[in-house]
Amino acid sequence: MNALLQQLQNRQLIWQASQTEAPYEHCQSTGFSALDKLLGGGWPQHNVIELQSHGACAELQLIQKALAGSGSELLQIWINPPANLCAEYLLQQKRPLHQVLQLNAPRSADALWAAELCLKSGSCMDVLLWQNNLNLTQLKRLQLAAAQGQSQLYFFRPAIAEQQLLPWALSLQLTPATTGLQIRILKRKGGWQQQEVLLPWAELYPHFIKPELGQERYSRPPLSRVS
Amino acid sequence: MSAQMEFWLYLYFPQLQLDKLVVLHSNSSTTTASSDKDKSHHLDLTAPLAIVGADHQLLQLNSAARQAGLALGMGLASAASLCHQLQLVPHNVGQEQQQLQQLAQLLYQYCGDIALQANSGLVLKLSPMLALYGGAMQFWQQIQQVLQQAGYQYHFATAQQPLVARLLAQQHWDQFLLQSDKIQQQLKALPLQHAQLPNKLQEQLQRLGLAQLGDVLKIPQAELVRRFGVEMLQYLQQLTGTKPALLQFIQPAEHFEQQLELLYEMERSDQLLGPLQHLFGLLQLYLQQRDQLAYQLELCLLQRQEQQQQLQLHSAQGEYQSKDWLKISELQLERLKLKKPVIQLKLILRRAGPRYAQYKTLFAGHLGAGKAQLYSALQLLSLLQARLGKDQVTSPCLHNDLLPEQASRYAAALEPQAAIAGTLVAVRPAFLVDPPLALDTEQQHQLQLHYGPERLSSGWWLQQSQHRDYYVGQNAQGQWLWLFRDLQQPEQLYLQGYFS
Repeated sequence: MNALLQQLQNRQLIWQASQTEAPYEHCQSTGFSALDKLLGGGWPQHNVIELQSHGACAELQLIQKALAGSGSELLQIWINPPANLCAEYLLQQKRPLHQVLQLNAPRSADALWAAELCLKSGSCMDVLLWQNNLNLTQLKRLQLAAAQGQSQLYFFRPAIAEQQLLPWALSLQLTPATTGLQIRILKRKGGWQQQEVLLPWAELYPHFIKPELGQERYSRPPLSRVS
Repeated sequence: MSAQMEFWLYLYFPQLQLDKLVVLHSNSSTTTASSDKDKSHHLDLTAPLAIVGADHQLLQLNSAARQAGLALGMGLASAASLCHQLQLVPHNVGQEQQQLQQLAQLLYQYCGDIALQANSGLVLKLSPMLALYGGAMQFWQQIQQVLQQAGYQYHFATAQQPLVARLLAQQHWDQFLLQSDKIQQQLKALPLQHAQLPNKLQEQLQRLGLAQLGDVLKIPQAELVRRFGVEMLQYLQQLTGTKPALLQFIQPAEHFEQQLELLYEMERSDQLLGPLQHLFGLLQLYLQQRDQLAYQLELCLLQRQEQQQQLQLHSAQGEYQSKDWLKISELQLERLKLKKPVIQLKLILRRAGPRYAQYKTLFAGHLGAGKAQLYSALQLLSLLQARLGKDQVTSPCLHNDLLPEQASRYAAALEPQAAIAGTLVAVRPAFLVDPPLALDTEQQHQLQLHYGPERLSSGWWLQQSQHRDYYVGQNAQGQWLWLFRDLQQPEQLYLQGYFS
């Protein structure tokens, strides 16, 4: 190694591919083997995860196993969800209703404040936040709060054309396709980005799509079933 | 000193109102650095300042005023001619009485029998306490510590009779002694004009050539009573303690209600935190003495032109520490718009309960292990409610109804709900649209249905029967929807929820 390289190395300006460590310290399996493989184990723990989509395309289904794994002693917080929560759905997920809090915060500053407080309180496990914009400082604060309180923030955001460069631990873009959900990694700590996987709908919604029947049901016109 | 002897301690506070000003001023100058503009409203406590009674006499003076040559009892006219820049504050009897009451509550922690006396005095019954403290000096040190923290000037004396202790304390004797001979000696040397005899009696005695109380006591009692009547008898009985004194001992207050006059008008809500801290400190003391937690407080902000704004402060878990209440009130004050500058604060305790030990799991489950709690769930709830508003924080709840929009409702946050019997149906979306949204024909044609129908028939036992067929479908954007068709109008599809 020549002197210049040595000098640069001493000043820690050189990054070597051999130094890459495992991207996340703790992972929680997503319950979908294809997605686990894509993410290198599963959801990173005690961090902030961004899920970009235009809604209603199985984004909660993806994190459902992680939420169920959090146990029911600690609170689950939903901040500004896009519509009313369905109590029966939550009970299906084995979640006691009095351990769920829904917060409505019309001002985005309030919503972020509440998310940060819940994350660092230590009495919540998962915080689900619907919000449009976030800047670097706000993200850093949320990440620190999540690490401090050992909790997890799922950040739901509408898909946007212009990509900001934010240091997410993990950022996914979810696009519905005809056969399944297209999942693209926008940003992943310590990993390659721009990888994709397609999860079939039958795997995401097993309780109402039977794989073998799936094909014929697609062809049926909507009004033909009722006479 | 024999164990059977009664001893009394009299505490005399000569300048309660003035001292209160000093205490408040030092508090506010440390917490909020006020700008120069604000200072023009302030009283300058280093310059001559006097508290003036209703009859235009000077009642309390600070040291600067004393240096200017003023003396207590001086009229306003002569005071003004001696010192023209003298600042005057009207005497507030009600406020002094409240302060005295506060002091008594403070001392109640250390002494069981305390009575309020006219003219800014407290009388404490020592004798039962001495056994508890294992000596007079230990007890006295404890009391001194409390008084020092309160920051008021005081004079004191001890005696076997409350009246004697009072006479000596008001003469600034300032001796904590339990030797009755020394006390009697001091009493005998007391000039008659300070003996607090009824005016007429005092005049008569002085005309007889008696100058000190000791001269009166030398004369046999029967002779004195025969000559001066019943008034003299009562006085002598109190002085010698032959008849027990009539005293009403204080009871710990049953309600917490404290007022605080602000030193100057406050226009910003963040300025209020300094004075609020003082009030919460009093609350903490109140709650600690009773081993209670406060759940709900009411804070009145009295404003100029007799307006007032009220704040309700809640804590779901119950708090007693002033710092926790300060945090909750800070969040609420941030949201508050003051209509007028605030001149007075009033804090009322609305709901309190006994304090229980708060159990925490030592070895929590798999995930909670080693998780340090900054706030408990209920503390978190109180903070969220304080900033977002009480109705913005809710928990979902399930009602016993078939129609989805009736079944899923919201209830008060974190309250356990009664379980509803019955099995859960398989297909339910995460989000519900309430009320259901009618889809137009174009949207209906773009739909793809995947699952259904699931029929819900409800309300037929009432007049409003509903028969619906539910489907799961996907729209043109690929979103998963929960749709239903009302059997009374089968062409129309409604959007009931989103799968997510």
